[in-house]
Amino acid sequence: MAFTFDGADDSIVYSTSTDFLQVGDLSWFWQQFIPPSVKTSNLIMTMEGGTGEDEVENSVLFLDILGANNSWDIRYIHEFSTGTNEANTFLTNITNSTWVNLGLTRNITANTVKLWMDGSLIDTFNYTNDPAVGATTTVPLRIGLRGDGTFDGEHSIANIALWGSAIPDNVMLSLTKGFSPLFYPHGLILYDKLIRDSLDVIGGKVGAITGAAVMEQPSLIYPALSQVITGTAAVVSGRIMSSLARDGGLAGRGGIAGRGGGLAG
Amino acid sequence: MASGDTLLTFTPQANESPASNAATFDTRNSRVCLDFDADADEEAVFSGVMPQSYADTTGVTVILTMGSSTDQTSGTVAWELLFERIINDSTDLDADSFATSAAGNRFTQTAPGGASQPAIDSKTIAKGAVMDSVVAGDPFRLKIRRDADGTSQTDSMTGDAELYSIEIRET
Repeated sequence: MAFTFDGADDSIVYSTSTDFLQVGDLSWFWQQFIPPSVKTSNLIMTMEGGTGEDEVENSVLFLDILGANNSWDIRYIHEFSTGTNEANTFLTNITNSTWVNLGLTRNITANTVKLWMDGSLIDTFNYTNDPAVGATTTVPLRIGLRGDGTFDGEHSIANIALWGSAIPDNVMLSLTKGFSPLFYPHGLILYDKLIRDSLDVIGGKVGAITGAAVMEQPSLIYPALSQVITGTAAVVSGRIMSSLARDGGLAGRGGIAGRGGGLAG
Repeated sequence: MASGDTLLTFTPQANESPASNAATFDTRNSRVCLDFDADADEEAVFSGVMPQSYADTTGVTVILTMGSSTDQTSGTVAWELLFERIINDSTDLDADSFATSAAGNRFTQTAPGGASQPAIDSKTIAKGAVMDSVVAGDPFRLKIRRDADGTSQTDSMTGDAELYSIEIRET
């Protein structure tokens, strides 16, 4: 059951951590649902030191929803210097009340940010300046609401994941087709299904939830174990059958076809 | 195990994607598969423990169920089936130590006979070095690699090769 943000004060906040101070390569995956009534400029997520313009308050990753009714877009921002934005609006044209799988990668060597949706690359943003946050060493991860109470999110979200690397294009393409982030554990920092509660199954982080509305989200495909065909089972099975046949079982002395009173005995 | 008996099976969801050059997870009619590119070499890795019932008489037979994402019915796919034995107090877990690609663990699989159909084919891998000397009870990994650029075999099927299942049998 995904979490629904009411556009007022609902949020999920993960405590400050060095894990969220990602000024380098990163990747972010999430499932998103946007209702018809969504407000503009409402927050999906942010990792930032504060909401002012000092360098220590910069956002290393900020995503919100823009666009128009029934054609919603995703805006990407990171900041450098004294709060200067590198920003791009990805034209996702998300329709109302439809779940989509979204993925974003940032590569600071190539100076690119890519956004995928449901198995397709939406666009590549070529930026100039890498994120920078001055002396800050830890920041929180906030979903649905900025730290100062602005950018009130009005949408639903599930299955969030954060990697400290730009995962390969074909992998993100797979994930946005509906595969679990657990299929790519390399550099995976946080994975929280956000199903009724908030518990990161990778790093053990727990999000503090304000507001508790939930709704169903689409399923993902999860990893499976190999299947072992054991010889023991076959041997035991053979012994049982042998015993049954010998001592009163299916074809034995007292069984279905045996000599001692079985159905056909 | 007697010859021909199944030891292990793997489905695509058991793939431990390598950090780079990974085969791509995909679905076709809700069937999960791994797409191996036709131009760049890509890999999938599966971990298991060789069952105690493995007799190690002559080796194993690996059976692959493959499809073509673009419904090709001609050409071949060049596979490498590389075992890595995990040895107590020995194997460096920070490094890969798969068996060297050789004729004994390579094979070419012919494209499916008809559009939208699977091709199910097998490769016999002899015990010993070509299967990295895996024996009963050994943890191991199996890397499946499409040699798409045809370095050591002919890979001529265009489009992605879809891998649906892997079965390991006692030869």
